[in-house]
Amino acid sequence: MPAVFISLFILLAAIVFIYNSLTFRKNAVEQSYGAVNAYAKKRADLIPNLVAVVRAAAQHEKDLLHQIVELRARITDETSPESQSMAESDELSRLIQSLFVKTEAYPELKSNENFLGLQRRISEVEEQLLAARRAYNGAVTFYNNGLEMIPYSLVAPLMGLKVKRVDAVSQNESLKP
Amino acid sequence: MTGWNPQLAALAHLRKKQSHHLNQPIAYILVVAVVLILSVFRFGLQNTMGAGVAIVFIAVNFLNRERFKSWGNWSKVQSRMSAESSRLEERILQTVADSVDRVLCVKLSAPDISLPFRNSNLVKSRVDYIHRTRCLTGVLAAVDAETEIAFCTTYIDAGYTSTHKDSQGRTQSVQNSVFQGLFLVADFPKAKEGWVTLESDNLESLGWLASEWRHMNDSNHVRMENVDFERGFHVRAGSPIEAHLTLTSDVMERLDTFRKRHPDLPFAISLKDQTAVMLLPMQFNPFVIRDNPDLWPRELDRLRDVSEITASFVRAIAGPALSITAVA
Repeated sequence: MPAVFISLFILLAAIVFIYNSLTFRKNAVEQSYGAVNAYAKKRADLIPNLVAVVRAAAQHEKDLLHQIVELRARITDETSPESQSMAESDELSRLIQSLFVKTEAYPELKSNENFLGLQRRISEVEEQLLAARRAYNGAVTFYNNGLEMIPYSLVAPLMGLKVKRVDAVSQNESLKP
Repeated sequence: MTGWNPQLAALAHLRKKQSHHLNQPIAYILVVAVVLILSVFRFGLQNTMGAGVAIVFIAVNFLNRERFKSWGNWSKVQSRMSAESSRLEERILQTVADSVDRVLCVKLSAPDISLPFRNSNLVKSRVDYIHRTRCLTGVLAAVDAETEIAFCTTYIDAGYTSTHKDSQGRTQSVQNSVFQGLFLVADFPKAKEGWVTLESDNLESLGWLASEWRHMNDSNHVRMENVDFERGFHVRAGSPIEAHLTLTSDVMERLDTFRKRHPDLPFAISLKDQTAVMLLPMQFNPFVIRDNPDLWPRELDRLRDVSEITASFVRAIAGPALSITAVA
């Protein structure tokens, strides 16, 4: 009889341990996704100023500026799904990078303190965003490993947990002023 | 030492000559003692044999008097010899360091390293004293750092002082060592924000349960996306973002290569305030070379290891080098 109780106790302790561990992993993913969003928002907040400064000096880049503004609006829309938001964030980084390249042809902008300050600030935020996305990837890998390994894989379906997609991040995304 | 180079062989010869010169007065004193003991106890000074030995001995010493004059001021001779010995030791260290990497330069005394040591977060207990010795130092110009990377490796003994009363009621102070080993410090401009520490991992080998327990209980533990790196290092930081800002993919790759090159080293690294610090426990001081060149092979091998660790750590920190300059 005591053997049955001991076995039950061990089983219960194991389930509690696995449940806590999975919850810990899930929360880590959510927390790091929150950080990615916070940095994406920080970048989005800088875009209107950037657009205003560039528009005043570089009339020919209207189309590019329009694309950036549209994309910014889509990213700040909180209803868009996780994967789409990451892809759009990549696209926005690419557009901002190409805007910075194009502004090199405008001497007015190159000597504009306001523009240079914004460029530096956006580059910093891009770097932080990249770090946050890598942290998110680390958390997702840790979470996915848990979901696919025994004994976690036996408990995870009961908690309704599903494998998440690791975000492809390129190191070259960071923008240099 | 694998492959003695001609320079080291010449230095070994110099050292042998030097120690021979240092040992001469000691050998002479021993001979005097033996002759006097023999004269008095074996032959007796009053008998002809004893007197003969004494006369011959005095005559030999009279002919050798010029040499004794040079021993006249023993303390002066000793300090001169010790300075020469130190210079020679430095040349030996430099030759070994050069054979590893031209960027390494030996200096007689290490700079004040107490600030980076205390800032590093790697030693948790109180530190009252840091004894340090010679150091290997240099400057490396790196491509991605866009600046010069200065570095220094030294052997330190750090600890705290405690006092207690002995049986007679007198206060005695005792030095308690908390860390003995190599201390490497290098500029690391990437560590701009917060703090990050890395330890070569030993818990993973205890299995998933130990590793899980740590993940859940260490709130500063950070998981990196590079699987190899994650397996080899236990990373702690103020926040995951700080860790990822400092440990970019290429830094992780280089640090992992460093770990793989030195798989048996139980080291800890701190990246903080634009400075990288590495602590490596070691019982012996590799910067001390003993007098007898016959004992050198093992000591020089150790020194070579230290030079190699320094060079590969600095290159892991600095990234691809543009140019290399040794600091005079």
